[in-house]
Amino acid sequence: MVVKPVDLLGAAVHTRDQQPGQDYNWYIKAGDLQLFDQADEIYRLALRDVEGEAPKLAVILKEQRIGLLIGDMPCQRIDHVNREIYETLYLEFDAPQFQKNVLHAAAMLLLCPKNNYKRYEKHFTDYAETLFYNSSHATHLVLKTVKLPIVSQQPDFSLIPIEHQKLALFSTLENRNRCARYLIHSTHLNTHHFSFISTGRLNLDKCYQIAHQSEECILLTLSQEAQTEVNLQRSKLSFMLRQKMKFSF
Amino acid sequence: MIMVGPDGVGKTTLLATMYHELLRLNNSSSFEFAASEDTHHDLQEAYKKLTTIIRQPTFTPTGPLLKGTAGIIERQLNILFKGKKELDLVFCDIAGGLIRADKNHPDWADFNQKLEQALVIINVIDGSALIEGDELLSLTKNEPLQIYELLLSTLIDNQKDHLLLFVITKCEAWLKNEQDRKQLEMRFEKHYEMLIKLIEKLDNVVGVLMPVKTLGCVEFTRIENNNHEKEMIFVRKPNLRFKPQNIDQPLRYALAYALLAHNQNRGNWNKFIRWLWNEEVAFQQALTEFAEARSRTFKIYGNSSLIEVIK
Repeated sequence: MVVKPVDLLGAAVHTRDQQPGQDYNWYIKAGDLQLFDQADEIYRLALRDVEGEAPKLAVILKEQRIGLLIGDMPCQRIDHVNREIYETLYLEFDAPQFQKNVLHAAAMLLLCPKNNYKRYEKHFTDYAETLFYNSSHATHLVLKTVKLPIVSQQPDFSLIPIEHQKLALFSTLENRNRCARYLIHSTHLNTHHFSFISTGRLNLDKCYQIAHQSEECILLTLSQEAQTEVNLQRSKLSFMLRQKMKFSF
Repeated sequence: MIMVGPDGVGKTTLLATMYHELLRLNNSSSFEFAASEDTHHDLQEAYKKLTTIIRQPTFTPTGPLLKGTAGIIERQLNILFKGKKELDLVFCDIAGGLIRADKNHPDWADFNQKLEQALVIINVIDGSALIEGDELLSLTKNEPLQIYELLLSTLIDNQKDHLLLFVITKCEAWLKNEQDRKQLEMRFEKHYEMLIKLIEKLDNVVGVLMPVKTLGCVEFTRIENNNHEKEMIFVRKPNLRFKPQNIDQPLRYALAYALLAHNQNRGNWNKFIRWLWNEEVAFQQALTEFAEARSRTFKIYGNSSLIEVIK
């Protein structure tokens, strides 16, 4: 696992505590978090309770800030009925300085095989747990840097590059490669509000909702509704009509 | 349809086992139940995880199976009759903590809207806490007063008819003889007295009490003190198989109720066309057959005419 320390501006941890009533929520919100509301919205729409084996992460780029959400990571703790507790970590950085590092980290998480992904998950849950156990200082950022994965393998350049500005793709190895390529080689995204999301079976309705909120947005989903590329710039009605026509002929 | 109950009572487990049962109902009913592909994958995966219980060691506390729900999950289902879609159904599974949420909670508005729209409300109850725990433990695990508060306005303000299913889970140890079953029923009636009285006062609500076995091979053994908190300990029994039981019953009650309401609320034009093509008779016959497979052994509270399907 090749990582590099990067300066943080803020961090948040979504998890639950052990006892009844200590439900899933953002337990820690520390430092200066300007994109937290957007991150929470994406978490609630696209990562929370979404099943399916795929990297669950998001990148939000807005003006001078860039945020990285890594969701659905099992930690060592269990709750009052013996269930594994899961964590979602949100990290926020200064975009002009660290945009490249964050986009590369997201790309690496997409490219790495399942076993390596688990190692990265452990790396980030350790970080989240450190924040969680220092919850008496919940608004004070106890860790000033975080180690992010750096690019140690290149995506497949023979694949068709991503062109649309708002797109939902089925989360195959091939499409994960295309997205990684896009993230690695679009370090100067010409947009004020970009988001990238990789998740499980997120239906198209929700993909459209997310696309509506960004200027540019790429989504990887395992939903059967998105088995072919869906241009989210077109209206949902036009997508449904095209689907209907496809099945009629 | 919406499931309510505090966290850890077994809502998601119940939903996954009910869905598995639903696939079996497709073979024995004139109605066809089809989930969206994503819902199908999610619930089948959850069911598979539940079946791994038989690989867990016996006589030791059971390990984790499903993860807790963090928000509100909608599961889409269609009911078809003779290949034609009759009804869209949404099963809402919620994070248990939502029953305690106030207006400031980000999911509160969505949760309340779904509760108001629900035709069938399934209150999932931890049976072991009902029987074995002291008063406080039972109230903490099942929160009957919170459920009463939550349903009060839904049932009174909303003039819609409701079916309220009290599904008792984690009660494998008390379904072995009539005496234990009776004890389960008495404890339920004691702890849910306020809600039962409310149901019996209203014309638009019917409640059904149904204990079920979601896993079949896991039984309550003891209560342990863990950091001053009481913990219910369940173990896998070596002589028992993974065998959910009675799980079709909440489904049959819920689906028959939804189909009945759907049939009663058809527009006049639709009714005329159906009468003309003799579709009404076939539908009514299929509904009667489906409803007759409901067990009559469950205790019913309130206006029982709401669940009667007339031939």
